Amino acid sequence: MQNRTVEIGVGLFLLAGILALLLLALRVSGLSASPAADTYKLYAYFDNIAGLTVRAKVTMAGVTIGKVTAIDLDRDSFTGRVTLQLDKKVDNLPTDSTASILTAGLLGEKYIGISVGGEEALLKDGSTIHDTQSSLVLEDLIGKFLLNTVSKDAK
Amino acid sequence: MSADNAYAVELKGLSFKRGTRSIFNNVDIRIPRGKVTGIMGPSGCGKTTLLRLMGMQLRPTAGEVWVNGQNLPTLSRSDLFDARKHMGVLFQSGALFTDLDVFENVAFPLRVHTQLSEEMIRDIVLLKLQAVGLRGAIDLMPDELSGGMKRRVALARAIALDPQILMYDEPFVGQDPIAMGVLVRLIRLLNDALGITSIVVSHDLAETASIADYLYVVGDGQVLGQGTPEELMNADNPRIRQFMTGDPDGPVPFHFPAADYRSDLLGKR
Amino acid sequence: MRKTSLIEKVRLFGRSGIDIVEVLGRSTIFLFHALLGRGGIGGGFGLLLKQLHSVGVMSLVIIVVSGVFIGMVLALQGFNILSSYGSEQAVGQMVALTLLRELGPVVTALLFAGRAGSALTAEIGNMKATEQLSSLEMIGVDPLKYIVAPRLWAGFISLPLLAMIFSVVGIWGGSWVAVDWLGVYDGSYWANMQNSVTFSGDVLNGIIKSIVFAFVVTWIAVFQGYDCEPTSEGISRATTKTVVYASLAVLGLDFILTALMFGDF
Repeated sequence: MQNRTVEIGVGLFLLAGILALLLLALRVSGLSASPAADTYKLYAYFDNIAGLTVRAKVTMAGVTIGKVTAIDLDRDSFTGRVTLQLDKKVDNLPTDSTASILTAGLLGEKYIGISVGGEEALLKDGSTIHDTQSSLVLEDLIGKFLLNTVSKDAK
Repeated sequence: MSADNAYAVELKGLSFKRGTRSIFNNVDIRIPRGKVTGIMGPSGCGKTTLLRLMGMQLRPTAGEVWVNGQNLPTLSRSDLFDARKHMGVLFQSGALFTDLDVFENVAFPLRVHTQLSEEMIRDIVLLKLQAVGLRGAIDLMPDELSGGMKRRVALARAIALDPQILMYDEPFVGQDPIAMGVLVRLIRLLNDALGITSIVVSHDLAETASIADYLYVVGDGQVLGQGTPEELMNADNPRIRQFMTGDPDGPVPFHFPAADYRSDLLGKR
Repeated sequence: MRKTSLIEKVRLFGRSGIDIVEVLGRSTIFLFHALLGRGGIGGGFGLLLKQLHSVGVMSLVIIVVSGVFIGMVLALQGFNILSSYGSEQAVGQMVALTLLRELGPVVTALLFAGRAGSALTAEIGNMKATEQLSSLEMIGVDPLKYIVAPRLWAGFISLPLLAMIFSVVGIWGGSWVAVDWLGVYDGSYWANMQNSVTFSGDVLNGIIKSIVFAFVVTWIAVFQGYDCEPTSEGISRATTKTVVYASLAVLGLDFILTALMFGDF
């Protein structure tokens, strides 16, 4: 009799543990059953990626359609190469689409927004987005602003 | 096989140190097979340590421990556990498993070492409990038993596997006269009925002398004397005499070693 | 006199060094015999089950209650800080990451050391003091197999499960405060969390941490019990040691593990 309660208790405990693992996997980390199956890769070169991190989201019209999987420096052009992993469902991006690094809120995280171009040809797995817009660096902005005021004053 | 078959346990040149303190120094003890042997000595002389050395729960610093023709210190860990199946020990506190009832306590050695059916185990347990007179206590938990009863249940457990050697660690300590009488009778009875070798470690002189066929007196890390109880009673050695007659002062001094009493009283701190 | 006392100090220092090495050696041999020696877990599955119950199930209540409260507090504090930057919808992400990476494994291990670890030490120490361990040995049963091994495995299995349960109820407690009480939009609480939490990075690393903690805490607890002086004072001292050593080991290891997992090297 006592053995039974022990066994039931342990059974429930183990079940709770497994359930917790499942919840962490599915609900909390949003892991889907087949994560890498239906995505494709694109590259984009930016003059300045400052603040963008791996795992940042890629959005289009505000909808998340993929994420950044790698960031490295291109040795030849001295630009930052960002690898994007996009949902296979969104496979109809024109070749002249624009990728820009945006900021959520004033000080929020950086993410990539893609806006559509007008070309007939479509981006395929492994192709590069040429039209890019770099991160806004606050210091540069302030610097430009100051320079402008100074040159205005000079006139 | 250097062990003589007439002896169940032989300690040869046994020394044991705890840290730098020497507990036993070159001790030779031979326990005759099929007899009750008493090992006696004043409190704190290492009698229980001696018992633990015989069961190899402590490893001797030097010397040999022959039990049933095996030199225990040379055995591997697993062979040692096999060798211990032939030894039963009755610990001072009884050492019953507190989370098991009386039946399960006695059945425990059978469950772990044999493949017997449940009915067989039940029969053996009842048999052993009957031998110690506690068949009626079968469903009680250890904390519902008196000290004497605990020891008797532990005794039933110790003989569950029919060991060849049975060791008793201070079986008479803290027992009322009736419980003591029961235990004395049981030890003798079990020894004769089962044909086992009994080793009784104790400082209770009268009880041990009354059942032992042979006695060893240990003290100061050595064997002070040995012989039948009668022989020891008439021994010449003043230390043995003091122990056997229970004099408060003698070679074992009443006073703990100290500076001179006079100078201690008069001297400055 | 001065000179000898200096030498004496050096000697004592050396002595304590030798003692530490000796204890480490003994505990390693102890662990080795208990886990890898002949015969696996003595007494088989039944004993493990019993220990899972007393180590795991009995710790469940304190883990769940603490988890809920810590999650709630995190949400409350996080909301206050984040709302001053106008990004209170990130509270879910903050609660989840804090729990998964740090508080889940660490707090669970600390609570486990206090609840189950001290109980293990006291139980085994008591068995030693009442000669039950000696008695097992003389019956021909290895207490390392029969008493120690099931408890070790029960600890190894229980703590990671408890840590995951802790994180889940904590995140749930956080959502209760943030969503139902403070009015963060339900969708953004979970979506922000899912966007930032990765399974391989955060959840898995948290689990690895808790497995390491489980190993260390249970090992310390069981060894302290087995190695204690078999008296009442010895047991109480060993119990205190278990909680202190286990807590320090958990916090120290946590830093090392965090540096290895999330620091960039």
